[in-house]
Amino acid sequence: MQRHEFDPVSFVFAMAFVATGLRLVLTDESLIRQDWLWPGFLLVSGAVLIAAAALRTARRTAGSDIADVEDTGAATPPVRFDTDG
Amino acid sequence: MVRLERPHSGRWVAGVARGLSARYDVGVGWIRLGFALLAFAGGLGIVLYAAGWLLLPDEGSAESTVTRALGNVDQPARWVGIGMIALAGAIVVGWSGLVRGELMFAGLLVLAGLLLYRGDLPTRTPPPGRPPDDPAGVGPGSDETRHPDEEIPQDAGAPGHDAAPPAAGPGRPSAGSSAPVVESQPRPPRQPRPRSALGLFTVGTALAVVGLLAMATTGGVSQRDVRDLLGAAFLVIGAGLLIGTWLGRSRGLIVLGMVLAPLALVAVVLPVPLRGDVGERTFAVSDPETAPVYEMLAGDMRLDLRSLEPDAAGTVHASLGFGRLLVLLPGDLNPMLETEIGIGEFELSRLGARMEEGGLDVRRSIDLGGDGDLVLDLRVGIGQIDVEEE
Repeated sequence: MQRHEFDPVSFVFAMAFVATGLRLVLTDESLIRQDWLWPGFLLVSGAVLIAAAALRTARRTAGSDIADVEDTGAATPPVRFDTDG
Repeated sequence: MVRLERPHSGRWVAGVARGLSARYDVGVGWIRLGFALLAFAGGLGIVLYAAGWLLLPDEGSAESTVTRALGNVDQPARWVGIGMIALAGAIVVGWSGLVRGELMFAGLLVLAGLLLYRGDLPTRTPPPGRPPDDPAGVGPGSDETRHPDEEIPQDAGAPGHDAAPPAAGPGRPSAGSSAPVVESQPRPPRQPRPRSALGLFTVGTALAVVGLLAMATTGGVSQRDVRDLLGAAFLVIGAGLLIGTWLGRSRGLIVLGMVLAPLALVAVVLPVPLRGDVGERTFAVSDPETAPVYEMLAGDMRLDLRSLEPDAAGTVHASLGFGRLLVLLPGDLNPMLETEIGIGEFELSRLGARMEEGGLDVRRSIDLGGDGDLVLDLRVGIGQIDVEEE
């Protein structure tokens, strides 16, 4: 299996399914109260999505900065040394 | 017209109110007051503000947080997905009791409808050198794709050229600018990705876990009902998808989970344990005080109380997941009936009288005239309860 960029769609559905599974498995006597399950799911999902979006933006910005530097370097005319005089 | 975005200057929190104020020329104080008042309406104002935070791009940015996170929102499938997630969020938040789910959903619908109507929903800016997605063959500068508020560019190129929409905000070249026209290159064919084994691995693990739990239940090692098995399957599928978020990829698991989702919903709603036999069984009750809890998963369940004396005391518990629960009473027995049906109907026939009630979440507490020493606790998930005198 190959590592790839963060997949938000898979993440949201994964969290929803985990929350659904916990809702089915947990009973009234469980340590985790069912009332807190869905808000927790939304909170964690939202936080991770926002963090992933911010990280992706930061990477894009960093990538465009590098591209700008490379473009500037390519546009600089080569230095010519005049050895005749 | 001012672009709908979250300006940096004058913002209190994220600039949503300030952006709406600038776009629609309404006093920012009124908008803030509206958010504050709606916050007391089941938390609707907070939800709407958060939605605006996610949907509106920051000043100087071409894309909103949602657009960046979810990719190209021009695709209808993406919008369906976003709608599904919003609906699911509304439902589950409603369950939590923190925010009224129907209010949140209504607010999201109003916000999305308003933005769609105004054409203000953010879309991704196509990268330089590539025309925007145009499946209908409509050119990028044509009337069908242009915002009503935008001016018709004088130098709009022919289809196939990258004629960027003018003056829509930062990140886009303005009309009449000297931005070079770049020849669009045909997109190279996408190389097929090697199939990930994650999906098969996850499905196999889910089947194995469910099989083990079922065997443990059958062997008497532990008492697990259908709800537990379904929950275990969801946990494994969720774990597989969570791995696929970063490693490998198997979005087919989403389809599998969605197929199982209605079963999960039914299992959550039903007020009975989903375990026991399947078929047709008769339980003859002779002593209510020592009687076990009678449980069946599905089928026809008969609870025969005709051998009980009129002064019998105790509580008889009977539950059936799916099917018909028939209770046979002797004429001189007057128990207290506590009935609960998830979806279905209740019917009582006694002394020539007949009582019927059906629908969702049918709960009845009926005293048949006894002294309350004998109680029948009857529960059916989907089906019916019939109480008859013989």
